[in-house]
Amino acid sequence: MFSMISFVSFISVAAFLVTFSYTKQKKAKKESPDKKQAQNFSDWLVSGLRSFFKTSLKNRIKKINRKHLISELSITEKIIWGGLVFSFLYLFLSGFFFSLFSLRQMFGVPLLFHIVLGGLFAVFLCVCLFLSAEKFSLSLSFSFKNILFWIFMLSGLFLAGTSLCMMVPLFTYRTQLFLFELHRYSALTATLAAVLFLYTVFSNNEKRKNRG
Amino acid sequence: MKQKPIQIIFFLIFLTGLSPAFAQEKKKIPWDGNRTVPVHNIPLRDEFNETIIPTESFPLPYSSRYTCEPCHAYGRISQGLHFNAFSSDRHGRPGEPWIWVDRDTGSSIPVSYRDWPGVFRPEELGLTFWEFTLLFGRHMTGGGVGEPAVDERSPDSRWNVSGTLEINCLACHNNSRKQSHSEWAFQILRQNFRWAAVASSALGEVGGMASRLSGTWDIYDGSNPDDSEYAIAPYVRYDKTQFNSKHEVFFDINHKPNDERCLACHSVSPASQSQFLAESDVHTAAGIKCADCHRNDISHTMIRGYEGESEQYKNPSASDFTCRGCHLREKKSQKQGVSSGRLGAPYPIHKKIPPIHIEKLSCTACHSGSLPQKKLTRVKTSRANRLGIYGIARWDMDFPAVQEPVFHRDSNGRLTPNRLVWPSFWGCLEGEEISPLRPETVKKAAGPILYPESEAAEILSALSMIPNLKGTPVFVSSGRVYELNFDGELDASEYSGEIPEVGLFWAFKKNNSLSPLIPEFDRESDALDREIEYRIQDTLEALNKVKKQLYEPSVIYGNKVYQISEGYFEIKEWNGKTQDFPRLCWLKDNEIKNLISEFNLNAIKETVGYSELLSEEQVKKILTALSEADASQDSETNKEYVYISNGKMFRINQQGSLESSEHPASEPVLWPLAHQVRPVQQSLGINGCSDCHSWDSNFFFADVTAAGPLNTKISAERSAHSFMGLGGLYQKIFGLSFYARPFLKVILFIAALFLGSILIITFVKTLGFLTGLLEKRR
Repeated sequence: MFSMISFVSFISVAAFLVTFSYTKQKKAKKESPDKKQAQNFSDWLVSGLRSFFKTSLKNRIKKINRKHLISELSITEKIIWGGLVFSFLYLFLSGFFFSLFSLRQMFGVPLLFHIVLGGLFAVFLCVCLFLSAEKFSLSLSFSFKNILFWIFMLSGLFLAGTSLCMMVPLFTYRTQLFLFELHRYSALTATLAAVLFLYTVFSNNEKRKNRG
Repeated sequence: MKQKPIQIIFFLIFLTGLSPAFAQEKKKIPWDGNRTVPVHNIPLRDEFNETIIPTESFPLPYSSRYTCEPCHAYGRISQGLHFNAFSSDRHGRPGEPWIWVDRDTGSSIPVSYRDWPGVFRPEELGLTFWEFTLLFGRHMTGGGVGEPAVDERSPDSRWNVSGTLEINCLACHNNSRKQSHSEWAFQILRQNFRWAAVASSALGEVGGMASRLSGTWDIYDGSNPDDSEYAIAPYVRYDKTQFNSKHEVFFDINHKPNDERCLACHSVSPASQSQFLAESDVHTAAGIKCADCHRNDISHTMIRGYEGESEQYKNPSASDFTCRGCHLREKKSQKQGVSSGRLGAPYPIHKKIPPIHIEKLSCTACHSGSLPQKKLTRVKTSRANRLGIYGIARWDMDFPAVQEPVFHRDSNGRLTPNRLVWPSFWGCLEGEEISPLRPETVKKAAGPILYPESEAAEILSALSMIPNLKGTPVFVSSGRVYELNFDGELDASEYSGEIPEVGLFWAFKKNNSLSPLIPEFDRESDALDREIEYRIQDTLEALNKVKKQLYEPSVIYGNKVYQISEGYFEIKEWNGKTQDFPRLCWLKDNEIKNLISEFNLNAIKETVGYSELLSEEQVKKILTALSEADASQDSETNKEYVYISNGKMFRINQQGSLESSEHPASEPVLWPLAHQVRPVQQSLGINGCSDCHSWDSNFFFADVTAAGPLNTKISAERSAHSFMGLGGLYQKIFGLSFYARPFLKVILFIAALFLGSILIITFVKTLGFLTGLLEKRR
């Protein structure tokens, strides 16, 4: 069930983002829908994919760096954000790989790293929240991006909480099963929130203004 | 019109053919719903379906087939689990195999008619139904191979003398405490198959031994008028007080057999445990009987109660009688409208056990059998170690060595505790295949090599005849005292006292202290002390009765030798090495030989008083003897003799020494264990994760050393995890990670607290902003 919901969710979000990007681009170019819309969409998609795969990883990082002024972040900030991204990426890959593509639950070395990086993720999440809570405050701006940020944080809370609860000798087998499901759905929510959040960040064409 | 009679004939034949089927159907009496057991006042019937009159001069034993058949379908019952091993193609989960044990040859061969991994089919060993019944009938319920059809009987069998071993219904269903499993076993040993049921049920007294009768004897022949001492034909004297005037007997029947009846054949206990420390299964302690879960209908297809049985036997209700079926409400049960919690089975809370454990471990992994120790626990089982047979002689044996628990994946992929036994047998290696040899083949080829004790036993037996010997004759070697036991074998005990340096020290034992058989005396005096002279004479005369061709029993002391020559005691000069202590020996032409040969003494030292039965030197000699006995063996056939033991294959290499190697045939035979179930407080994991997840936990890293009859240092050794198919290094690292778990918990707790606090503040602030209670900040 969880695998199916995850799969459908990922496909839906991907489809939504692609369609949204296309529509947004059309609107930006002030083009009106015509009979060849399907053909145009597929051409756009193919060219987009082609350029994506043509661009080397190095150039892409440079582009992101240039666009979002990552290089201007302090080394501590880089470590913190990098750590958060890296740990989350591993947790996502290991967790969803076993959910979607394996009949067995996570085991062995991937599980060992999942546990270790889970702890690191919780730490980085707290620090990031400490650094950015003010910036993404909903009372400051009730934007979609900020809402996604807080959804991600809320999911992070559930992820850490359920992990902790499963490790303490307080809950029965059935409760543990519930906690496990809650952990998985929290991970799905966090992943979707992260994808949408990153999209809102990177799809912004305007360059970030200099900080300070 | 002409066709009509033919049609009628065919119709009649058809009806005749159907009649047994109708009869069978008729016997399926549906249960009327009453929960009592009908009083069984029934007439006994013999194997010719005649009513037994107990006052007759030579009444026959009762036949369960004909006595029970009028109400219970014997044919159907005979297809049940306890009787269908050789006729059924449904083999089910591996269970404990029969183990053909022969102590003399150090053979323990797992055999079964069921197709289980690692076991030999009886046919592979040339075991006929007759031999199988003689070997294992002691713990069989009768029926099956014990009751072969006439065309299934081998020529060497004596079924016509012994009768067939019918299903012994009372073995399980008798509620009387007079039901004697021992009596059953004795009757099997005496080949009194058809009398075994009546003897064990105490309905009558059985005498005579079919094994002593000639092969031509028949039940019609009755008693043997020519012999009233030895070859007495079996007979039964019924207890007439148990019969009423209609020649009916009251059978105290239990519909659900008592546990004692099951445990007669299914007991398992740690080998070194005292009886008063033995625990019972938690289910038994709760008042649940074996048959409450291991149920069956008239077909006697008993529910074994393992996961997957319902699919294998196409019997959906079987899944309700597994651990999970009763204790965990699983979807399958709910669908079928069966509620779990049968007989008050509690729902396990399993606090602090991550759900993966419930998926990947069988319930028995944590709750059944012996707790994992650094070394496997040696257990004795009724069938392997011949338990539960009581008499003057001891029937139980330490050999074979059954060990538990090793955790092995079952067909569902769950780790399940298993018992194991390491096979040991002599075999013929051709290519990669080993054909096991029957013990008698080995005995024939090896001869006295197999019996190193016999020489010493013969000497000790002879010495025990010395008049006025105030004690038991013994000999001392390498700090151990060897003496003769009641069975004519040797017993060994430790000895720490000082003994003279004479190789073998012969003495007599009284009140646990040893005195030399021939003490030191004044060897220089012309006349010997009379007491000493008599002792030497008596000893030498006793030894003269021991056959040792060409050698004379002698005592050498100083430079003199004392012998009996042509019936006269003689003292001669000794030219050989001077002896500082009176030395008892064999002598021929100045050649001294110890009373016990070096080979036999070495074998005695390595095997007597130990659980091992053979020494490496013996194995080497036996392998050579087997090769020499096999005239057909040549280099072209590429055939050689090997010995499988201690998890290794032993063979003689080209240099003539014994070498060991791995072979699939030396792998242990495993079967899952289910009982006995321990209480929660004694379950694995009760002390936390470290019960299993630690650097050197007994669960993952117990030392599994192959046990076998060979005294060798080259036994197979493994770690417990190798049976699980899991990497040892990973489990060690994973175990170490549990030391860091408390820190992880603290980190997660702080993180959750921090995240939760910020989120609550944000939620409250956002709510205030949305409701207008708070002003939007700039």
